[in-house]
Amino acid sequence: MTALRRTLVVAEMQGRDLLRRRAVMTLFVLLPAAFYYSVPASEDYGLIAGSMGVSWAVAAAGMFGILGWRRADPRLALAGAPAHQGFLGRLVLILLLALGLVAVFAPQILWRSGALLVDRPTAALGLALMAVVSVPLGLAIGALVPRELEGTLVLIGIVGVGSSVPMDTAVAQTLPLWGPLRVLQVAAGLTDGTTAGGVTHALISALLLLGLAYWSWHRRVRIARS
Amino acid sequence: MGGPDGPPYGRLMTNEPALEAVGLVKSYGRHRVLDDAAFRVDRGEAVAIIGENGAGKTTLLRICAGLLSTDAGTVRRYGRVGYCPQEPGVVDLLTAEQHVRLFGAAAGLPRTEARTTGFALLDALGFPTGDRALAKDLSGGTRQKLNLALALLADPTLLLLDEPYQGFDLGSYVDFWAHVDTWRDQGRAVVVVTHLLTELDRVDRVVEVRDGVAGDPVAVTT
Repeated sequence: MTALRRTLVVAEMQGRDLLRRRAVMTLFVLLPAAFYYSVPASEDYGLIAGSMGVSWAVAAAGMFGILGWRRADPRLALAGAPAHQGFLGRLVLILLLALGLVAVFAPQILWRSGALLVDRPTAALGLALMAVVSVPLGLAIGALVPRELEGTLVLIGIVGVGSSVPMDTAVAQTLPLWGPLRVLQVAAGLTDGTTAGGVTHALISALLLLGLAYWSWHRRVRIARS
Repeated sequence: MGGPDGPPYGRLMTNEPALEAVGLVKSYGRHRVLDDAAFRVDRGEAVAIIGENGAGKTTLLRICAGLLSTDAGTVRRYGRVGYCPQEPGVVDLLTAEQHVRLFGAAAGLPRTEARTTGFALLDALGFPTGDRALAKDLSGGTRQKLNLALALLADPTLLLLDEPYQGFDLGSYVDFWAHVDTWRDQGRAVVVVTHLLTELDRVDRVVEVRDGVAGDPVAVTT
């Protein structure tokens, strides 16, 4: 019970912390919209831009969630909170926020770009996968870099390269966002492939990023044994 | 403070160690900060760590807390540790009450107990407990009181305090040293990193960190 309570209290406090960053939360909601609505509804690139906006917003929330607590987290560990409970609380909170963002944003895409889509449920799946991969991406960056500036530059690199490299190249397929983008391509009828490859890639990427995020996080908050 | 014939203040003096550190070595790149440093504190004892800027005081304290790894050497801590860093390790956008709940949950305290204990500690340190301001909006000294209260929340045996009075007004500063006496009398081991040499008569021993070595304890005379 204590473990569950610790996890929930961390999630609650992380939520309070993020919700009080009003400018950040406003951008969190507006960023995907800005990316998406800047592209005419008749162009299928709008799907890519909108999904990248989701990735940006979600990954940034995860990254700032970690970096904003970098001084407090080791103290929480010293006070007795096992590393996995603090991490889990944060993961749950950011994931809920991310899926909430998709719930708000996906209907707009499905409505505005409906004429471009051959499979609307698959498009919604692609957006959800984009959020699912971007949560551990943001957490991993936050746990690996020392400061916000470095983290933002790394995020720009990963999301920017992911959206500009041709999808069929080997480089693109090594990037974490390839899977959700492939699913969106399938939804828009832009490729002959199936969703299975994209879904598998997305889930494996999410798990690998989650592992990397936890490993880095654990190193940061680890208390040396006496 | 205390003469050679008996324990100072008639306090609870034990030879029960709260912290034992032996052979500590720590380098940052090519710069060796600690070189075979050793350090011991018993329960019911207050120790001041002094040294020049960059001598390695904070490094020594962080290693003792377990927050920093060593290149060599061992640290043994007996009981729970409370650590108060020089720069408040708090979350800017949470209130004091939320910090108390968060750190209380981390320590496994029930919510009510965390609040009761936390507010009592804050009150004792002169923190305006009715203040619902976010940590980022607190003055430096008030923020540091929150920082210090969080270190005490889990009833630690060993208190490691890194210049914990930063930003305190004079009254709070005087009260702080009175609290050190109280904590020591309660049987805690209290380690204070300080630059204020005028207060060294308030502790039982002074350890100087110089050239990477935590020097032999210097007896404090009154």
